[in-house]
Amino acid sequence: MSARIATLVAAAALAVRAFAQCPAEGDCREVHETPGCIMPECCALVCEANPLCCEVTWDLACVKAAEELCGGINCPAAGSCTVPHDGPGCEDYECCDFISSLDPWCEGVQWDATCAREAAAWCGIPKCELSLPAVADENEPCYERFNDGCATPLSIGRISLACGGAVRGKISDGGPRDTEWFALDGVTPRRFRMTVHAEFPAELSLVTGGCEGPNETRWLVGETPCGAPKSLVFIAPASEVSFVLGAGGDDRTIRNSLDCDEIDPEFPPGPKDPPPFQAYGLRWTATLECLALADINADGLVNAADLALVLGAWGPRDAGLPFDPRVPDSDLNDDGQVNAADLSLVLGGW
Amino acid sequence: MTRRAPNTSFLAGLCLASFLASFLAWSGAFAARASAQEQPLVFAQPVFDAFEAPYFPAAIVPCDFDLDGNVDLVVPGRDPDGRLFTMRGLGDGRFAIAQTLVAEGFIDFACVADMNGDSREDIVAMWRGDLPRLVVYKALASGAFEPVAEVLSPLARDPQGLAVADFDGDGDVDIAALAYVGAEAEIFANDGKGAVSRVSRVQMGRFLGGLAYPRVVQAGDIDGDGDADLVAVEVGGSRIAVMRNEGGRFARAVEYRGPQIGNERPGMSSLVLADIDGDRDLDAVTPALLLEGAQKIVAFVNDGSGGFASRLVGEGPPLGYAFSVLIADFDGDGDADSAAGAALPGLVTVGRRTGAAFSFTLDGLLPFGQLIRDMRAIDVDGDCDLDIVGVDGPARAVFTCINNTPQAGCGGGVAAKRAATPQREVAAPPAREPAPGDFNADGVRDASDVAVWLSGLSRSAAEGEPVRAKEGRQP
Repeated sequence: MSARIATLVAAAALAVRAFAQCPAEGDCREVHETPGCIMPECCALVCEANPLCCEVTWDLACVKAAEELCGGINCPAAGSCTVPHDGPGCEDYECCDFISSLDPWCEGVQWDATCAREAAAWCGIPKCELSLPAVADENEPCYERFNDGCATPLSIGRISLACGGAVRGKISDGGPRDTEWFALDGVTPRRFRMTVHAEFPAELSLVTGGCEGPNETRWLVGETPCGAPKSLVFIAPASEVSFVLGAGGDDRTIRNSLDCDEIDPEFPPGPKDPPPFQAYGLRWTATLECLALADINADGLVNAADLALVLGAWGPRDAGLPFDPRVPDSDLNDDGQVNAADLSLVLGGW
Repeated sequence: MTRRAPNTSFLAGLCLASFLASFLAWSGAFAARASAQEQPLVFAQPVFDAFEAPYFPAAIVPCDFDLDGNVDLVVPGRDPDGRLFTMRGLGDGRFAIAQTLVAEGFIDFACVADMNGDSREDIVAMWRGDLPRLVVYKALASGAFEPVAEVLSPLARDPQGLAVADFDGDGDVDIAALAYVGAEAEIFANDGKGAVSRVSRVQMGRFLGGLAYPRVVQAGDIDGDGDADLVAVEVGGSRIAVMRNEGGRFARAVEYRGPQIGNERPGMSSLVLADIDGDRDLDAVTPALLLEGAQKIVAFVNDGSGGFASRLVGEGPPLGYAFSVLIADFDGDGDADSAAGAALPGLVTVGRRTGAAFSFTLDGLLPFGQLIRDMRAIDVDGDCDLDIVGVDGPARAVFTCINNTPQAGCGGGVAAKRAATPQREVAAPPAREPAPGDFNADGVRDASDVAVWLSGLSRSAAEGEPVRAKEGRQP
């Protein structure tokens, strides 16, 4: 990523300094009469090597230079950014470049269905800076991995939040990427509402089991960055349960563009290292509320509305479908079907 | 965007140290073990059928496409020239190239199955590379295949593992395709005429700090409900992922970590399903790649309902790095023996079941080559016992080790009923510029990194730095 950023910076500087034609009409990998070509970075690189490409015409020598210098640069390219297509890149330069900084596969290999979904979800959302509440901090520098669940011993690698508790922190990626694990262990099923506000696309999941296994990701959802806080209401089964926060979307984890902005004293940056790159901000907050198990619609009451939800969901749940925490979960005892046992739990909690 | 080249000096040092230490320990112990047992497993030295460069065979798929009673092979591989080979079995353990098919991408795994209901087994394969595709090479009445494949569907990023079974119970063959970089299994339903549609996606290892890299998937009824479930091995995560069939769809994976062995967690690069304890359910067996000491194999023991929390450790190759594994009854005594393939050096060990839980006496070591990527237990010479056929990728060869273990009615050159079809076995790169050698980006350099490195090896290890097959960019 650092090399990518350096290339972008250099290319942008070149474009501003000397080559007003970048970008210009015409495919960088095809001969055309006008000078310059459509890919800003590629155009600048080629014209630095051969100024005539930006002054006279984009001839065969320019094409050959582009083929030599512009490997992996494919923004913009033919094809809608929100529709998968063969070949890398897509037609909207801003979106193409941004998604590619998060997911280099999209510019380097193919604009596949994952790229299209990422573009639909993330392009056009401006970077934001959240106003964080004055709550406890996770106390994990973003270059450390203290509460990363199975990346550390699970017994000490999770954040414990009391009902009504809140915490804030920072995330980063790298190897290993930063994840925040919250302990929700219980001896009986319990219903929670976890509200997360993040400056980055948040990958939220519920994982059961210890690190030796069985580990089951009961559900995983991707939430867009910024905007309003995102609330998920879910039942944590009676077992070792972890709510996991990371950076990513429904399809994939983000590992490429959330550099830690704190200096690791053990590995301080060198004088030639580029500054950290963050496609998004790194900060997040999380608030945990404990709800009555039978409060299916999470309104603080167990009443006719919850009863109606149980009756509406009556029957076996479709085991072939993944859990979705955005849909009210009426299977209160987690036995795979909504039946009289769940009804009695609602009535008992009325 | 630049990629940092893998640091091979770290691995090379590990290889040399491991080799020397293991060889010294093994050379004395093996002789003592072999002489102390009666009826050891006896295998002939391997015979090779080599491909010309640059073909890098990645796996073998047994079948009998020419219906002559001899086991034939489909040999998927990594080939810059875009080829897929089939090999005709000669009946004596040797194979000859039968047909060259056109491949628009590297192929790491393939299967044979009748996709369109014409009673002929087609080749189902996945092209890796920039345009990952699920394809079928249709079988012809002549016993050959259409040389140009029909594309069935786009696939997720860097498809590798592949399994076929009737997942939805409608009588035709469906497909499970594993994405190595995408870290997911895609399930495709067959319409009975050979057209497929994706019905499920199951993600794996999303909770990991590092990369899961699922590589091999096997289908089998692991929970005893009569339908075919899936078990995959995650090379980067050192875990297996169990995906239960729910009416033809698969909702989620349940993952189990490889056991602590000594001071380390093993790298796990392959997987077979086999009943290792005679309780009539399928257990999962993987090689256990270790940086220290002799290599092992690991059994994730099925509790009968598809739970694999119990794990056992068995003997593996005394040298090199365990990479592939095989469970089969090589001596005809009714229990499951083992074979394990290693890398650097490439070798195969055969282990005779001793009676104790997942304990084996190593009866033979067949040294050759560089990296034993895949093995199958097949009766290739028609004497009714199970021989070992495999591929050594960097050596560009298919090899056969003929089973000469004396056993009632079989082996020892005794011609017996020839199997008309092969016996079933009882059996990207890392994140942004990780630490050198940390190929799965989990923050530590350990056995799983060696397993990931070996999985991506595409040419002779002796040729220097490894290259990765077309995955080229970050996941």
